[in-house]
Amino acid sequence: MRRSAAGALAVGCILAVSPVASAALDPQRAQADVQDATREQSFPFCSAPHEPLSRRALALCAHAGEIPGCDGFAAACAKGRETPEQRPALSGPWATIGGILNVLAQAVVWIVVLALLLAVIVPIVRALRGRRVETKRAPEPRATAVAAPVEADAPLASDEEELLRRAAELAARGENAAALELYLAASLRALSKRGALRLAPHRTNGEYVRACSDAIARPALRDIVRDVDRVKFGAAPAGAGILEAAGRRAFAIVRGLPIALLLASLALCAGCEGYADKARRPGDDPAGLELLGELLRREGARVEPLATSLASLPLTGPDAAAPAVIVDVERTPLDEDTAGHVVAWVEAGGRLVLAGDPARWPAAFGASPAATGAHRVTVRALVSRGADDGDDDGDSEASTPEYAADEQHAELAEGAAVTFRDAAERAAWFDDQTQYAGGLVRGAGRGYVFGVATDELLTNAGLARPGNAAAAVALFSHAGRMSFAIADPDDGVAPPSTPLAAMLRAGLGPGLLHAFVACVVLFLAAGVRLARPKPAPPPLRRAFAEHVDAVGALYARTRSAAHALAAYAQFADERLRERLSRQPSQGGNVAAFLAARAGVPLERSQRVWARAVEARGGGPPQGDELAVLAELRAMVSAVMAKDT
Amino acid sequence: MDAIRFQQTFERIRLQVARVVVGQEELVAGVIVAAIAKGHVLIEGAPGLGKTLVARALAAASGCAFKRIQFTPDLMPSDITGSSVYSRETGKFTFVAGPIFAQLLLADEINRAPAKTQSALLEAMQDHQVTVDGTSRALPSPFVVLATQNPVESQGTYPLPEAQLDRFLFKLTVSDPPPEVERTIVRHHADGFDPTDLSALVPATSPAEIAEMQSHARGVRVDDAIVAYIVELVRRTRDDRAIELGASPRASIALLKAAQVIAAAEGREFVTPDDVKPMVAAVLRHRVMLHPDAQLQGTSPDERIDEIVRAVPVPRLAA
Repeated sequence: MRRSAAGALAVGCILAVSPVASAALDPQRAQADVQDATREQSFPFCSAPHEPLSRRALALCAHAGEIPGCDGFAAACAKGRETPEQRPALSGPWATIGGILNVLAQAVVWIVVLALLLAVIVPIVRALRGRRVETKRAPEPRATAVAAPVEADAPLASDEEELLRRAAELAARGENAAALELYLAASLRALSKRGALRLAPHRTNGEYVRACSDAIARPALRDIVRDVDRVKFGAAPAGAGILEAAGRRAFAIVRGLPIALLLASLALCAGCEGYADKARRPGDDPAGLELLGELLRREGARVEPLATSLASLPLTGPDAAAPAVIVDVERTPLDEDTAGHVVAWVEAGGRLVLAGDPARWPAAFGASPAATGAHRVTVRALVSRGADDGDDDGDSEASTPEYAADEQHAELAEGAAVTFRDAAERAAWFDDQTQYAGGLVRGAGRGYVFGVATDELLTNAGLARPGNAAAAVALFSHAGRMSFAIADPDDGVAPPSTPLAAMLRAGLGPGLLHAFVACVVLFLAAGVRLARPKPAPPPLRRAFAEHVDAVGALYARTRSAAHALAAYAQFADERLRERLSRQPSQGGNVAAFLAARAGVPLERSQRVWARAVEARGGGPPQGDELAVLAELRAMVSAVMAKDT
Repeated sequence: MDAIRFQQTFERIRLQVARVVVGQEELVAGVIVAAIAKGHVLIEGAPGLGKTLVARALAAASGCAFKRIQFTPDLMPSDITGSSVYSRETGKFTFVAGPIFAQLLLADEINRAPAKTQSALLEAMQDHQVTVDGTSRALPSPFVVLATQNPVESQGTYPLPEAQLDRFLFKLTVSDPPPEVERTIVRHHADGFDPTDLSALVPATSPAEIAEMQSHARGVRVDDAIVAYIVELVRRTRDDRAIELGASPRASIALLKAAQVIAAAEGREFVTPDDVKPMVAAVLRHRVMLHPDAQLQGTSPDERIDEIVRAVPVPRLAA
């Protein structure tokens, strides 16, 4: 918008509903505030900026030569400009090869990741499977436990550090053999904890060595075992040299992993420290807003980081005490949801300072960038908006704003201007050549948007340039607040609505996909087999039971009940006499024994037993064989049940 | 003989036998251990798995006199021990030694001969002598019987009685080789290997040196804890509910002897549990008789022995 049009609108209507100007912001002392701030506090963007410079920082390089003592920034700008030229551009077949190598490199990275995962998962799975097999094969507890030849597992049940301590005590007392074995026990315990081997009372030392999956610890363990066996089973003296060597190896095994982890941690810490040198420090980015915050504070404003995401700003209506929210869209890009919420928040009464490329602003504000090549701009500070000062509801009557008498001038690296689709604007700055406006205020619902076509005057480098600070302060006088909340780079992204969305946003989408594919493959490989219904295991001794059934059926077909009774009587006779031999008081009387143990009258047992014995003698069938057989079977079963 | 020389000689014998016997490392090692431990070996396996070849290769590698007896149902004891034959020229009975008078005797398919003939081996295996016509004659030293039997066939066979089984130091089972080993065997034959011609094998030792090795192995130290471990292993076979008849103290002695040889073969002068444990199954599997219920349930002696080994803690620190 040209200055004529903008000026008419500004004077005519827009400024009537615009916010109260701040009386505290004083452009005259802004330059001194910036100098004090840079002198008193550390803003390393000039001396040691973060490298490589960001695209936005590179765009500010025009200021580097104008800021006193900004050699570091200037040098970084020089390097930043050289780098793209020095990088050879790939073209033709080299570009194809580069693409292939890129794919290969990614494949190698994934293979390495997969190998690392396997290296972690395989020992765990093997240990679990081994434990399951061992549990399955564990011997039943024996009722008659036999004393172990030696006390077996006392050392293995203790903590390895405790064992080492006890070994050292024993060694100090001269009990070298016992100390030696404790060193072995400590080593085994440590390796077991690491999953390198599995302790079991029946395992020999040699089996431990052979089963040790820790290739680094295995030679040391083998040496300890050799010494222990030589002393324990070979009656060799446990000399001080042997003890010392075993102790050294045991310490290496027990503390080897922690030491390795410690070293790795130190290495990582060192790496992190090195990385920390390259990491961002407050104020090291020429495109940062730290100096702006400090400048506004020194001007008497209250500045704080935005406490919440822009997507969750509360829609509370106009509030004169609420801070104006500063959003630099160059560093805080707004996603679609956030932009929509910001528009709603402004329309509900919020006050927003938008800086940066107008194309990135919420489309609902109707802003668009305008072409301008001017680098020198003029900013007018707003002293008073008029009669409705302090009224924030946007419904006040129009009044004439009062501007400061002296205009402030700023030098920009890149010219920028903005136009709003709607005409309700107040212009804050103009470029001196084209008279395009770079800072406009417009109402939106019950709130206001103060749009600044470029964020240069907000950045560290832009503010540090002599003369620009006053223009920036004059600019912010249009914000109508003495309280500001600056949005962080992450505040422009709406919080994820679901955990899945959070993981996808964190870049874990490919990982999730791979995990899903791995699950499918595992399911197809093993899960399907496990999921198949398994046939019920056959009953134990099925063959014997079938044999008995078949024999019974044979007897029935041939009407050999007498023979069956005779056979069963023979079986019962053998079984009962086995038990009778342990009961001398029965005097070898099977019938009496049967009566006593089965709890039946003696006469009955005598009758049944006499009939059974008669059948054994091959007498003629009498027709009662099956009944006698059933009766005898019941008695014999009762005797057997008592014995078991 | 010192430990190093024992170890080297043992390894030499093993390598010589392994030149012609492919993929039967356990069998080869077991046979050599038994020979040095003054024991006898019962080898059970299907035909064609190299049992006879192992015996002949060991004989060739050790320089021992080798005889083979094919046991048949009509084989008589005198066919084994020899007998006195009347000489018409001298008018006296002259003893004609049987094939048992050898240092390495292969009793092929021993379970095909009746019990009377099998028992002719009892005295020889236990006392290293035979008595014929009231005269006892010592057998050459070393004297090792390698008996084979086929586990599949049962028609016309006579299972060995427990007393004779107990005479065997080891019972080694030979299983089918894995495919890659079988390919190697066939490749050897394709390259001209003739199993009947073992002239390529050179004696790696001599009967005298084997006697020295036997003497050295007997001197290997056995700690009391090892003795207790061995006894405990054997005793548990008698307490196991699945075993009707457990191993005898002769099994404990056999286990001890075998462990001594294993320790010596490792170049050690003392026995460790690691020397005992691998020998347990070979020593005990033919000495235990499973309960019929366990047999019906398909339990094998090796499975019960494995359970017993897992149930017995190895000697360790008492601190």
